[in-house]
Amino acid sequence: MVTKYTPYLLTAFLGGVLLRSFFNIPQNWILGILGLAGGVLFIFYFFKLGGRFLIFSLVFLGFLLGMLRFSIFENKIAADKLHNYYGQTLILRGKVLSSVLKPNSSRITLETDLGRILIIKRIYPEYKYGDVLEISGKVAEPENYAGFDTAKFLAKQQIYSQMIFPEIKKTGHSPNKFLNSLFFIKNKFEESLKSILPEPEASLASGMLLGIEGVIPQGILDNFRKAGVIHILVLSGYNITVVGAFIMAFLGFIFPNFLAWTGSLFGILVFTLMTGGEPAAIRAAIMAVIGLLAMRTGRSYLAILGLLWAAFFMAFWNPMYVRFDRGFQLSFLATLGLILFSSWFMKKLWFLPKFLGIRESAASTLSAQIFVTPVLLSWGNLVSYLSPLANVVIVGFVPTIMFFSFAAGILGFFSNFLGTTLALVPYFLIKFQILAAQFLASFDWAVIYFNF
Amino acid sequence: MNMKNFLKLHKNKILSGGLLFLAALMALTGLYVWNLEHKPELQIYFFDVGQGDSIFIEAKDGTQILIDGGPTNKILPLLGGVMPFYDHSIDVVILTHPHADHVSGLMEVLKRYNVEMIFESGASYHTAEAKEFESMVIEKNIKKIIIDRPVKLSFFKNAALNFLFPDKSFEGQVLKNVHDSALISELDFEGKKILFMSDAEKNLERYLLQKGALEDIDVLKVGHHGSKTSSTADFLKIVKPEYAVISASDRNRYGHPHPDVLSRLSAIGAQIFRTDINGTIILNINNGRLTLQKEK
Repeated sequence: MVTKYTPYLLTAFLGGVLLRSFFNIPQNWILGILGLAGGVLFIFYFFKLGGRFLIFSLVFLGFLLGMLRFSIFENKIAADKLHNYYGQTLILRGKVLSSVLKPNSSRITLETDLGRILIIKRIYPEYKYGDVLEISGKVAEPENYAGFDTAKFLAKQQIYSQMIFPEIKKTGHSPNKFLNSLFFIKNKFEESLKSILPEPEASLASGMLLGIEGVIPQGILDNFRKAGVIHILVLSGYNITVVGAFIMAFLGFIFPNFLAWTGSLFGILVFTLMTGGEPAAIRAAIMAVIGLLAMRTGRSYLAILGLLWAAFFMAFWNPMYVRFDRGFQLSFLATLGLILFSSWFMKKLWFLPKFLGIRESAASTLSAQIFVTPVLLSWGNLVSYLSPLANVVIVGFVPTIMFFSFAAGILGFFSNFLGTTLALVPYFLIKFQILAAQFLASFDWAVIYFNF
Repeated sequence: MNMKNFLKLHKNKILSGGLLFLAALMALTGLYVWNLEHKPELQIYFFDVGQGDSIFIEAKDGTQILIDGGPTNKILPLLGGVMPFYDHSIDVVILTHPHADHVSGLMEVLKRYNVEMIFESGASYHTAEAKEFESMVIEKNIKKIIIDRPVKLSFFKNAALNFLFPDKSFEGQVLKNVHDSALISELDFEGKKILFMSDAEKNLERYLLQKGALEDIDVLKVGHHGSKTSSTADFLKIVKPEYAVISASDRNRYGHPHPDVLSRLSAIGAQIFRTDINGTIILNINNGRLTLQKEK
């Protein structure tokens, strides 16, 4: 009987995690109510009382467990020692985990003996994964700005402190061999892509392939936001699903189903490896595969169950994802939309040709969009009436761009000339996207601004 | 469905698709040739890179010269917008002096483009940016030319970039004010003269005046983003520009350009263009005529 209600339990757990991320509820309370609920459940079981009450209390239990998981994760701050030094000047030694480029600065995550710390520094000199640094400066608590919960956002990565413009000295380099080789592949690929495509097209291509970068001009980003297509620049299952669906629809048109499946799974695997095997990419790939399963088999119940299990494990691993990881949110919602609405859209889009899988691609783009739109709204506080149109026109080219930029980037390893020639396809398509976004964003009457 | 049937069934679609593709290719080629024909002989872009300088000179024969790179990677999309898609090389890069608002963007340029040679004063400067730039030049094995005397760089037709300063070697020297080693150059083409003052301040202006190196020009790239320590009345009286271009960012913390400089420029009748107000400013020279375009 319980198996029948698994989806409700999983949803309840995710709901608990989400709710707890908005409100700070003391862990003792949660534990107390949990004990109470457990007792009630025990009584039900003891007196062999079944039915709705049992299910209701089970679901409630799942909900409480979700809250508890979040609380426990949040209390990990106890293991971090750096937060005891807020306001003090320290000399720390640690290893670079990641480095992100911003327009006027760069952000480094440093793993030290006392805990992780975020460093905000000038762009030069640049440090990369595995570098050992000695930094000296004031340890500070991350500050929230412009209504954005920076502190929680960083806590997602177990970062509870930051240091702004410290003195930095590089003392060595000792990366993890396996991770380093994955990073190496990713960096080489990015370099190749950037040497064959000019800016801003190169950054937009790598944004669609690998997630957002710091070089895209603010004006273009604003236009993408206003047109409602900014999500294509976030590394998520959205893009991977769209690519997978595209490969499958295309191959499925020519070859038997089995080959189409293998082709698209292989495509997703290669793609995930190329993105440096980042956790975000792996999560996205898992969701993408589930979405594809749903589209092809048409067994949406199983697909939803799979999606919920995947989300459950990810949220159990790190409950902060649910609210503070855009990639996770996009992946989950896009896949959900795909499962629930793709067949409906296939019927409604009867007028589109099945030729080369055009109808299937359009249906997957639109159905993935349904639940994504509200999330976009919460990021940018604006939404456009023209957004559905923009999504068909601009997002429709994403798979083609991703495919050709990927191929051109690989080809660029061998010959700059061949890579550049192939890159003509994504170049003109991205140029078109930029112009289309600019055009659609220029209708001010279509944009509705919200104040939260 | 197998491949053979597929081809048979969609023969017409494939054929028309192919034709469409060819037509598009021809249209693009036509557009490209037309563009090339109607290009001015010389174009100078004063890029809107924010608080910093970056000037790009392109001749009709494809010669490209970049003077400074601005403070950030903002230069890349700007260059990408004016250079052809397939063009991955720049002939000459000039670093007027190693301050971050001139050198940082150049590092991004060196990463992406093949640069043939670099002109600089060679003065040494102890910031992370300056050191990183020097090591990149060595790593990429780019030809470095130290300007230590007036040099004339001739290119396309009779165009020439004349370096007025430095007239002595600053190689390896540590200066109290690195502006004093700035590369100052004048572009001459078909009787039109454009003076690039970099971040030169009044002592350097006075020195060049005393040396008699300055003359009446058409366009002035105003020194040091319009700071009040540059563009003295004595200097402006001699160079008498018709147009003055100021490269600075909106609401910068230095207060550039200074109101005194703006009124000094107005006093000699120069028309002022500012990257913070006008965006990227484009100067075209064609058949001896000089025209200015602005982005906004």
